[in-house]
Amino acid sequence: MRNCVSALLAAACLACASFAASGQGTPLKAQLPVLVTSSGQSLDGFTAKTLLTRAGVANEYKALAKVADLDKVKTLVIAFGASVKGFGAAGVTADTELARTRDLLAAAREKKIRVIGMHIGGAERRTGLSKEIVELVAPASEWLIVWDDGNADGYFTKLAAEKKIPLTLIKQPLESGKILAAAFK
Amino acid sequence: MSTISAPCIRKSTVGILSASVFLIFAGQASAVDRTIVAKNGMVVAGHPLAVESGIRALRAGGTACDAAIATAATLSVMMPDMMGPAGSGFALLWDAKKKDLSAIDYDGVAPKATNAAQYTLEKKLRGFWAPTVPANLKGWEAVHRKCGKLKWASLWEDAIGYAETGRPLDFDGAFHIRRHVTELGIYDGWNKEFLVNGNAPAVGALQIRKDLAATYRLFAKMGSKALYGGSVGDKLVAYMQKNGGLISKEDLLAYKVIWRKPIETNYRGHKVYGTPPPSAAVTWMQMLNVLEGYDLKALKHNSFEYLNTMVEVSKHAYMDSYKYVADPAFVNIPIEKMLSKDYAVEIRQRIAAGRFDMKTVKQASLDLPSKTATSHMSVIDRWGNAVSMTNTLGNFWGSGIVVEGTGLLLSNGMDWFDIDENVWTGEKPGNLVMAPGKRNRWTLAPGMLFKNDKLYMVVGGAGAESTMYGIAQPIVNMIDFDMDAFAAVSAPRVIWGDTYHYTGGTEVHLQPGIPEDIRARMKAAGHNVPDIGKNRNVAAGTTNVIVIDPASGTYSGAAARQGRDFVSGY
Repeated sequence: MRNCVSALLAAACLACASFAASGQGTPLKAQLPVLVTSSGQSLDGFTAKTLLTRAGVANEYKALAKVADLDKVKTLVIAFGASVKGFGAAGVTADTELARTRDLLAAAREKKIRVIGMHIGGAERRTGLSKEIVELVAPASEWLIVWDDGNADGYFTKLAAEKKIPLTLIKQPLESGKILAAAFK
Repeated sequence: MSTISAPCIRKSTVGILSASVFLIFAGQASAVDRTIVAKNGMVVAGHPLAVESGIRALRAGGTACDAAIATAATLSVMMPDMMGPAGSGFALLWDAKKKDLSAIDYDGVAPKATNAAQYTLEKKLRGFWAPTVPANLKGWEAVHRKCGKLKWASLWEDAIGYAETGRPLDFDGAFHIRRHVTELGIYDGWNKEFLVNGNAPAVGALQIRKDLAATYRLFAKMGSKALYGGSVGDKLVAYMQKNGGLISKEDLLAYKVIWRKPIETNYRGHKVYGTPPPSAAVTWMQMLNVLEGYDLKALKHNSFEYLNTMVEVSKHAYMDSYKYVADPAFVNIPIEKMLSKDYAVEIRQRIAAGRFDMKTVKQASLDLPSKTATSHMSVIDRWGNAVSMTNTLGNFWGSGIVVEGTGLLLSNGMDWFDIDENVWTGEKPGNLVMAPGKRNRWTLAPGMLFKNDKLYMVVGGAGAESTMYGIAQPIVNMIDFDMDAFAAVSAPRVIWGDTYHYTGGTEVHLQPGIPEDIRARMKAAGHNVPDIGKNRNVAAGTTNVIVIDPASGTYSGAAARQGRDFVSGY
């Protein structure tokens, strides 16, 4: 029985993914202005910003965005997953990064800002501090765009089904920009 | 000058890595393993095929310097994530006949257009502002001019062949491409050079790099002029201009390698030498200098008392490393004091008094499953000449910028400058601040040890800040605990602090193999010891070494079991 349910959930999510990737539409409509930030300070946020810009969507990128930066923002894109290299800024630690992310998510909810979660760093961004960040950001997202390399254990598939979060699984992280951009068109 | 003949199996060679790989070259068998004993020559380096290129140079009558260049050239094709001709490096060269030890600094410099105020963490880490001026090619050429015997061009033959006909992708090669697709795939050059339709190639794929082969042909024919003032350099400058990068033709023409006097200390009757700052060899040398005042043998290897001592000593050496080690043209470095016996006494007194005045403690994240980001080689020839050479691109894949039409990957040396607070001193920023023309501090730290005026050991390593732990502890293992070379480099180590250059951290990483009761005692003593696998510092410090037996003259080469290096000899 459990296998059947899992299969149905997976099929539903895959259908959702193909829907988004095929250009027939997106699971949700997003509005400008859009702020791109990171949770975990990997360069995946910078990649998301670059790809979104290349796809023709003007965006603001702040790796360490704070609640005050959400003023007038309609959509918040969070590229999540940790990287040690990002913790070079003064005062940034694992604890401060988790707290900043919590504050951002809470403020976005309060201001009714759409939150799109992007997990495009693959398996690399699933363990250690990334685990805490993933478990914080993914359930709070209204749409998840995930490189399937980071979903080998089906975590995102299961979460998306349980929380009824649209999930777009992608085969290439570099596809994510066009898929995300479609939500703004 | 003689030349090396082309490898008869170049087109059919496959790079399958295992603990022991046997390759047949021109009817001569050369074993490649983690540890080997040989009499006539030896190379320890980051890839079996690169090691074989070095051995081929030695067999052809080349010197250790020739072998080092041949190894480096092939390694730059086999490990493009780790090093290449546009990166930075340091080397110690021992001329056995002249009894002359020299140190060469071919560290890249910050471009003249550098403005620290305009940098962000992203900009210094990846992209067109991240590279320092290319340096390795000029360094390798200088090494060859000083002590090479074979024709320069012949040393590039293997590398050109592998670039032309294909780099066989092994597990590490494929893994390090895949894990960087998101971060580096946005750079067109890297994307085209290393991905296939936007995807990482699989293990077993052949990575053909025609542009790189053409560039290496120019390097082989023209030497460094091809890059510093020649057509390859012109392409680099044009690509920089097209993309808002900083490196100019003026930067390339101004770049110079520097021959420096090796720094020295003593450890239990051994003369210990390292490359001077901005190399960080002084750090492991300072550790040895302070450790000499303890009876480590009595403490017993990896006992609680031993590990505790190692941690306390390393704290002081690393704090000094961040406080003082930088470009000596820009800052005053009290190197004689740092390696003096009086200062060692002072540090031991501070340790005894429980004094350690670190300004800030920051914790980094964890989860980088990789091993190293640099590559060291140890080389010795039949005459006893030796090279201890470490090359790097900085982070994995350097800046991620591959110069259009050249296949040449640029470093991210700029990331190793500070634009923010120095976490050790609290200065904002301190000696490591970016400045035009400045050389950055590296954890590259080649060394050599001598006993009774005879070369005893060629040593070096990789693994960011773990490098210096990875050199100091194996030396102690061999000298204090009589371990053989392989046991010494493979024995579990203690590493204090997080790995990366900007964060101190306070975790004590006890590598697997250190017993649970010792771990418990370290925790009870107040050390921040995470559970196995949960430590934030994941780099172990990849060490390789050649030890010369004083009686027989044989060479014992060893590469750490947990590392990526291999050894071959004949």
